[in-house]
Amino acid sequence: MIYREPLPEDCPPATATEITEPRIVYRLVRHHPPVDADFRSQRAEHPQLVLKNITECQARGLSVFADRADAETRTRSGRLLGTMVCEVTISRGAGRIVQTGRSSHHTWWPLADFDILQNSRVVAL
Amino acid sequence: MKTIYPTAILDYYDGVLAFEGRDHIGGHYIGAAVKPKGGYDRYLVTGARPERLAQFRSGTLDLRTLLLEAPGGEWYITLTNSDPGDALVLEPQAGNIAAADELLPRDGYTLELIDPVGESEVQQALAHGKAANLTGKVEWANRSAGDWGLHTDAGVKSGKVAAGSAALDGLQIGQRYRFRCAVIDESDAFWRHRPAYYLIDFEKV
Repeated sequence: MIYREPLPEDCPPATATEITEPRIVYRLVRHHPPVDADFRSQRAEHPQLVLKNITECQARGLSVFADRADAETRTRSGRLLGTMVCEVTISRGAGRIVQTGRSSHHTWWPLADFDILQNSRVVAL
Repeated sequence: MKTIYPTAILDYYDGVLAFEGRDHIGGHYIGAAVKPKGGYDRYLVTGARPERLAQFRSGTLDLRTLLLEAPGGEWYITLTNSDPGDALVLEPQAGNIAAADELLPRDGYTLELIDPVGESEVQQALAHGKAANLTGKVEWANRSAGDWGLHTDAGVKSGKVAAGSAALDGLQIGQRYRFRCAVIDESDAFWRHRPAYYLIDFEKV
């Protein structure tokens, strides 16, 4: 399997499940309609950043929420002001995903062949 | 310049959105992500009263409100070349924090509510030997919210009253007590476990 971004060994973790059934997740985007840049990992955004508080694997995944309300709350963060909630329909071939946190926050490692933009639409401006 | 040490990630989205930290004398701080500068994450940081920090953690207090309560009106921005994994150097900021609207989160940014720990979970923790005796001066005791803080030799420990256990009635702020607590693992934004203290009973020492 080839992921959208290069990943370290043992990434995604064994706890991440392969996406086989269609489901909806919510990502915060800065463009309407969304563009590729809205789906870049923290590592892709900041190649030189030294991260001591999270794993490299986590940094190369995409944050998404299972609950729309949790995504809407984060648009109020000072860092995320101006973002919009985007619904992404993920299904077989989308990659692997795992819940990371006490909210509905998940980390998603998309496969290179999965057409994210084709499956995304902004639902809250 | 002031330095603080991050102690827990409270919220995360493509990076740390909120964290809590301590300074070298045990003071509590809250950090909130603002727009990055020069490719580095930056955080608006203020001191925070432990009981208010606990309310934010448990989903009952809004982040903006917590930041605007900055003790002494002091607020800071982290230096751009530090990361929440390190000690963070804070640059003091001039002026009223309320005027820094472009940095503050909007109203309504609260964490998800944590389900209250029930009596059975407390009993289960005790049955598995997960208990602690904490001794120190009472810093605060909020009877209506059922939370408390004890200044121990190892710093301020905060916790809640266990369901079905002693209330905080009769407790005197500033006096020394021994708190018998059940210890229950709670998780931060990454499921990292840390002990949470649930008061069973107390005695003056």
